Amino acid sequence: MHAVVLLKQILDWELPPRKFRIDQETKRPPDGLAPTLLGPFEQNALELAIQLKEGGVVDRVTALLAGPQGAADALRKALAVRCDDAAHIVVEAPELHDPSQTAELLLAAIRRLDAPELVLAGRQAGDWDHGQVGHLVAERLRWPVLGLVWQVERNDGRLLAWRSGVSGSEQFAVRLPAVMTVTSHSSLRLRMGNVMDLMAANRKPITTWTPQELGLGPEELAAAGRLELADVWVPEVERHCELIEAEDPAEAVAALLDRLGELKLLERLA
Amino acid sequence: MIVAATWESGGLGQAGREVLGAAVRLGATLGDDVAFAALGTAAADAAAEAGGYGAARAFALEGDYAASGAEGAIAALAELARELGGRAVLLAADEQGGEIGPRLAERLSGTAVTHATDVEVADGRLLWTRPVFGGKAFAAVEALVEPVVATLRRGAFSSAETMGGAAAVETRQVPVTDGAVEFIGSEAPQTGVALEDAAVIVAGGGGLGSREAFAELEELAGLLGGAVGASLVAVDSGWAAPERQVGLTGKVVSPDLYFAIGISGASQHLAGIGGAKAVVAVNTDPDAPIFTAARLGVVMDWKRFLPVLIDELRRAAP
Amino acid sequence: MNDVLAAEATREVQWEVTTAMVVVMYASMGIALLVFAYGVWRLLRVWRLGRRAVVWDRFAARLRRMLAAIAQATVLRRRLPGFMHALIFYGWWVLFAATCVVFIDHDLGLRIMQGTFYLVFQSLIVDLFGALVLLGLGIAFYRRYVLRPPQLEHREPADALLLGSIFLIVLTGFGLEGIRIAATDDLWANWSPIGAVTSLSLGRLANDAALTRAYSWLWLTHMLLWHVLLAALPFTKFIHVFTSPLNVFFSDPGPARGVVEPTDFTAEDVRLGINAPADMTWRQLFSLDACTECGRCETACPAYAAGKPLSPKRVILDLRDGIRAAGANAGPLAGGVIAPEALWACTTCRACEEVCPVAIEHVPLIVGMRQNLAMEQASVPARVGEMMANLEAREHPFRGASSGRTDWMEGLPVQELDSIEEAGDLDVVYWIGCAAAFDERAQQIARALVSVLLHAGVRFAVLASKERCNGDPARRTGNEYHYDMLARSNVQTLGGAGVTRILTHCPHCLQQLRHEYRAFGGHYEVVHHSEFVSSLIEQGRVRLAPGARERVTFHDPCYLGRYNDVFDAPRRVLDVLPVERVEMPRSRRESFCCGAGGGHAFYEDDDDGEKINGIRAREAVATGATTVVTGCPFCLTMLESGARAVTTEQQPLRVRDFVELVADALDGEEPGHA
Repeated sequence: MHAVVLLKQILDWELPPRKFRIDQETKRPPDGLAPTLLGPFEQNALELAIQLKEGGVVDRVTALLAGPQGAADALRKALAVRCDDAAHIVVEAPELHDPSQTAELLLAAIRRLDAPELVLAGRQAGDWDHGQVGHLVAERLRWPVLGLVWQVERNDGRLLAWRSGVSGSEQFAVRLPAVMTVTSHSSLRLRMGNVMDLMAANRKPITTWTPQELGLGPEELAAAGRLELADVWVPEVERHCELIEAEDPAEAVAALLDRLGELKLLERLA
Repeated sequence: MIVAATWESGGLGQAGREVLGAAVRLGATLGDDVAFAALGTAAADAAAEAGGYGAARAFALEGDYAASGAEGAIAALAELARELGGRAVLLAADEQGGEIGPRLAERLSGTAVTHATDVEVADGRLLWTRPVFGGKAFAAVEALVEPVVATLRRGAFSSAETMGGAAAVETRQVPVTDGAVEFIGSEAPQTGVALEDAAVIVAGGGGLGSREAFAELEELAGLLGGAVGASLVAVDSGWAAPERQVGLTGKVVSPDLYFAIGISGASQHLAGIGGAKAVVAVNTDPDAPIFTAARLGVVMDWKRFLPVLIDELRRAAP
Repeated sequence: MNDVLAAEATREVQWEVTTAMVVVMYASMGIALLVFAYGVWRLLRVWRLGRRAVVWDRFAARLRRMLAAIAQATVLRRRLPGFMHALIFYGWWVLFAATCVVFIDHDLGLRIMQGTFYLVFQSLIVDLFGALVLLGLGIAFYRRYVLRPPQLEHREPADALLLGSIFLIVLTGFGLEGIRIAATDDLWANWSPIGAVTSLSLGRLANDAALTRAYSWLWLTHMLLWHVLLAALPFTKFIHVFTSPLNVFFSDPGPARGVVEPTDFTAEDVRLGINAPADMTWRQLFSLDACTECGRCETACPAYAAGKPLSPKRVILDLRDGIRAAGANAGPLAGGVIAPEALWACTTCRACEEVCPVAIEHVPLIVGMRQNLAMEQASVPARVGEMMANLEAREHPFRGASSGRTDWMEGLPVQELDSIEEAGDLDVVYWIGCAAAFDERAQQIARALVSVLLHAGVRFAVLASKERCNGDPARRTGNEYHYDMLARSNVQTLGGAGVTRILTHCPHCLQQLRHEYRAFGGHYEVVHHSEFVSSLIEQGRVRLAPGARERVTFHDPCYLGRYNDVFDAPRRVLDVLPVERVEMPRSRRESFCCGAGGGHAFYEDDDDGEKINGIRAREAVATGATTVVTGCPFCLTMLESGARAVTTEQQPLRVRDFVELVADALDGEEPGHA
């Protein structure tokens, strides 16, 4: 079975809030504010894809990414952990705000890949946090989709998947072909590639498309648009934190409980 | 018509009232009526209450929708929304809403707006506010195509108010779907209070260091009648179950009191506790971002602080 | 006795030794030498599996070190075993010289074995040293089998047999001497006191005739024992008599220490660390056979002391035995013959190398195997993987840091250079490093140093945002590929050469910039802030105000002391401050690691048990000091963490960088010159 894993490079999500800025003109963070990295949930999806390949559930994995030229680093990383192929739809970032447009681009590419039966995506991209692309791709492919998955096994013609539900973990059986969005889990930490694979990955060819080549010129993309970004702003944070000064724990506990009682946040237990 | 939908298990709960409240207020501004749809095991009970909160119509969508994952729910809501000519469908932004939202929008050939924290009407246009970049910023977005299916953040919209009035419960059947997705089973649900509903939460983060450390949090939570939460770091390290995760990609909570133990306060975590009335942070690092969100802070190693706190509470308890 | 007789003093060589016995002697010696040669050939076969290595450069330094080791200087660093070994060693040489004298006199015909020389040397001195050998062996037995220090084997039969054989050889030697003296009524008996005493005791046991008969058997025994020992030499650790001094010669004479051999990633067949004997150099393979199993490395190892599964001694011996057993196919070494937990527990502190009397270099072997684990097997502890991911993405190892590279200097009048070309007029370029940028506690070191620099009127600037991690955490955890990228880009930023002096407060940056970047074309004059501040004080550019005296102790960072020989500079600085400075038992060259090296500042081993930093903090508290002073940001944070674990309200322990004490004691805020 051929699996496609959808990747995205985003602005370093560990950038501290007080350093975060939005350029009012572009309505986006300014270039160079922080490094761009393969997103955390995309890393989980990639790790799951490779685990499935190692487990024999899939036999081929293609990494697919829509993004600017520099985002190819993420595809090199995917190749370094033993993805078989990589494909890059070269678009500048502003075109990727709208999840519907992103989904169209990815769909156009998926349809050109060699009969994939499983598409894995991160549950949401850490920049715009829509969490829609995976589901839109599934709907437009008319494939079943399961969200927030963190473990997958093969069971005859279906996949058995564990996912995070409202009140706990749930197991579903999903018919192929299918889409799954992947959430973080301690078992899905992206592995290190070994150096031989890293070096080989730098030499492997990556299939590259422009949106036009996929049949999605500016008009077609505009037609696929659903969301317009009106404004982006960084909220003012006015918080006052009162620090309990104390030398030893007993003093600190007493002071804290007193203060909580005074602020009526906790019934002062007799 | 504005449609508000919920799938709680115990009748119309807090989540449902928030979605309904948002729908009623939005409906009032736009001059639209509100239809309420309930899924789940107590659908009829939830639907019965809806009229009292301002819903013009109330629907109980019955049938084992959970067996097919979100398939049945999506199909049922799509049918209903089409029938009612819904301009907007409002849902809770939980795990289920995350799946239903975008796909329902697609079925209705509309637009999905996820994790909305506010909605404004300007010149008849709906402007939705939603957090972006892990909660470090907010974006205002407008749907280019209606209907809009919006998932609403828990605690961001105020509850519906009782208005008197009633709406007769209309029952519909959840359609049988093709079985492409089949529910097999679930892990035993966590005992204790659900995080979103807890009034007190004791949460542990990277500073805890082990699963055993969380046992102390359990004890503290028990003494305070609260629930135990965890940061992404703690969950990813395997010290706490994923359902316990509080944060942008976990549960968004709004307790009266939130204890952040050994949590540094990454923005995605702070995004999950924005609704907390008061945060008490315990951390050895006085510059940890958690203190910007805390009301009270103790700069101390939780290993020294917590046992003393637990002792003191135990002593004071009857 | 009169002079005429004295001039003729001598003894008969091979008294009562028949021709047959002599033939047997030469025959058995021949066999022994053949067996010896075979044994050496087997060893050579293993050594030849290794790669080329350069061992003839810095000849004088190598020779000096070897001669010092042969003179027992390194062994004597531990008194009891050193004394014991010196007795055996020097005694053995004297006995051997005596045998040579016999050979020269008897076989070569040069009659030197007579007269005063015979009396004073061949009789008296030889007897005494023979006795000293017995004393030394006695101590050895006592130490190994009665005192039983944990780092020595007690169950290895070869050890007992070796000691026993030498003991018997010397004993039988005295027996032979005693019999001869008794049976020949030797005039000069008193010049061989032991022999004389022996002869008297033997004389009581049997008559001359019986003794003479016994003599032959004793002679054969004495001779055969020696030949067996000779033959067994290359099959036991006793081969160290040859391999150990040679290993001291072959080992790196410095001055740079611990520099990791770079990997050529452009090579056809890239070698990714050590996983088979062919990956080691021949002198690394040779060094395995220089080990005397003394266990000093194990005793000095901080990881071992903290109960971790690492014993440097076992690393060497397991490698040696594994390779001897399987030859070229031995392996996998990394993670197989040597367990991964052992490899990851190492802090690369080099205490093992420091105390090794035969100059074995343990750390390059460990790092070499880590390289294979990391680069070929892609198997590293989870946190190391996270650190590497952070290093790759953000170019620093401090995962989750919420500052940038210039936050520490906010509000300070520090100039940031746009490029190294602007550094022309400056006294120094201050290299901040990652700790002071991203760790809140370490930022205080940089701020303190800046206040001292400003006070002393030093013209300096920083590169700050142009810096990348020096690469040490990547290199020491075996991630040489990523290290290579970081090193090259830093060398590009700093330029190849001709840069003004570089000042750093971090010994790891010091090691990299001063030594390890040379392989990438970076040749810099680098100075540690202790050396720099010490010289500022000597130049009178720092005015210090008096203050309350406090008892402090200095913790020598491994990468500052053992790696870079800087011990005195920080102590000189402390001695001009109002402090009472005491030393910990393990200080200077034998400082006990804080536990942060080898990447450990960024990952914990997966075990419980006392941490290394706790052990060291306890040692500091035991001196009565209330503050432990150090010169490394990682030692600082590690020891603070250790102090939190072991100290109480009654016995607190502050941890500070020495420059913070200087900054506190500065008299006046304005920058000035003395």
